[in-house]
Amino acid sequence: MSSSALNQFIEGLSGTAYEHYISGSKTLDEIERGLAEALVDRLAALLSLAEGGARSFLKAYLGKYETINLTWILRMKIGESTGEELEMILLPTEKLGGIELKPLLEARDLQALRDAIQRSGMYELSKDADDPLQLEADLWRSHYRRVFKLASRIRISDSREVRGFLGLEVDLANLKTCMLALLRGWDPEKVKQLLIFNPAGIPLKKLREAIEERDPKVLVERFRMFKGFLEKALASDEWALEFEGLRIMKRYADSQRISKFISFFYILKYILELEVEYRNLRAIAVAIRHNLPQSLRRSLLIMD
Amino acid sequence: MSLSIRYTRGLLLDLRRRLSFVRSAHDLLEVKRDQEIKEISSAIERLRELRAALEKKIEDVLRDLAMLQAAYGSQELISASKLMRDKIEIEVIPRNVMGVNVPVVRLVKLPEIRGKYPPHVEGLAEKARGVFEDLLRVAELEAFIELIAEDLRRTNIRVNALEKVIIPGYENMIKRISDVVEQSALEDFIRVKLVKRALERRREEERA
Repeated sequence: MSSSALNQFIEGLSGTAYEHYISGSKTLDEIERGLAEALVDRLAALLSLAEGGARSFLKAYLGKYETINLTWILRMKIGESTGEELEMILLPTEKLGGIELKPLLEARDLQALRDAIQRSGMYELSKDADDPLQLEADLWRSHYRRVFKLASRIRISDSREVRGFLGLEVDLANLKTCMLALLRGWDPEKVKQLLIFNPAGIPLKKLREAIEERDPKVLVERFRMFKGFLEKALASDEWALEFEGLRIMKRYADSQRISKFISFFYILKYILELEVEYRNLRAIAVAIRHNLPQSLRRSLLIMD
Repeated sequence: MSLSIRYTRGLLLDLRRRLSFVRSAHDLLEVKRDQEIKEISSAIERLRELRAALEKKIEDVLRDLAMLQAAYGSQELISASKLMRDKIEIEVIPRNVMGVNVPVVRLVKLPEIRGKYPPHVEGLAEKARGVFEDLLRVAELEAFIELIAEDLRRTNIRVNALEKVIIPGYENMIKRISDVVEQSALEDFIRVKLVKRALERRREEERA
């Protein structure tokens, strides 16, 4: 039943830009890969139009997809997966001008992978850390450090909105980590190691103090601006937190009144729109595959 | 059943002794069969309850898996699943139930989940871990039912064979031998009577 429903989903997208990417897909994995490829191609087209400092910033910002890839490679290497298995799940981020993935895929073990990542010069990993989660946090920290550094080079008039957008993105990521980790009773010291420095949002000191309390409700009290977001986790819906985060980002992007016709913020907003569309389509495909009830399907969508 | 039949009183006594032994074996097997039926019925009842609870838990895990997959994509879950390197350790100990060796599964070590997965995946991993213990209990119970049922089948065959073939066979044979022995005793008695009468007649003729 789900197979014919997936066919209907593919047919529904015929005549759109996605047709080329997913026509002929038989499984959910193939559809997901097709949708991801469509997203990366659109982002690559956007990147090819940018020049100068804007291009450097955009390339750095789009590096988040590369960071996602690196976290997957890291995990799969720990699990001793083969190069073919890895290639099956990776996003084609080389189109976005990222680092070459081949040497990473060929790394024999975790240490070789760490060395290869370090050699790229784009990421800084803790020397003595062997906890994969900490290594992932190191990757994200490197990514956002680079992005914030380049954001400061954008025209001053655009910089405030851009930094606000990035700050919100990091705040949501940090709060999600704190909330879920505290709910699961993690050691506060471990949680602290996973946080990302945010020069345009909640200071790490504030987050650390809240974590020390070991009580997820303290987070809700102290960061009232994110109450709705954090309460999703209290309702024990880890998945809902991800959708809510994107909804907040979209609401924020939609609510910004930019006084100029040309602003870099519009580009970030466009990237967010692409990401939302990709996530919505992926969620629909997964919901169809698992035959989820209609009531739940609606909660998976990020709408206006 | 092939027995070389000697129609003697000795054999008759031997057969009667054997029949009594076979009858008590039959009674014992009947008790075993009833006990096995009781064990199986109560195990099936327990299995039904356990399986219903397990199915509910699995449904819950699958729903969460689907929701997480929708939120983060398959790649995130596939890669996160590779983070667990520890193995589950179990011990299977045989337990003797009415002469049948049934396995008892003891969970030696379940991998520690906390802090091993990204926090958004840990909840699902924890739930899946909880399901595993119930899965073992169900597997143990299913093996128990299967093995006892197989033994019940064998016991049933034995009880039926004793009831329908062996005991009636012994009874027939005892009856035949006892008929023959009685007949021969009667013939002996008559023969003795005739000889006695002939001797008396000869004694009377000698006297006359």
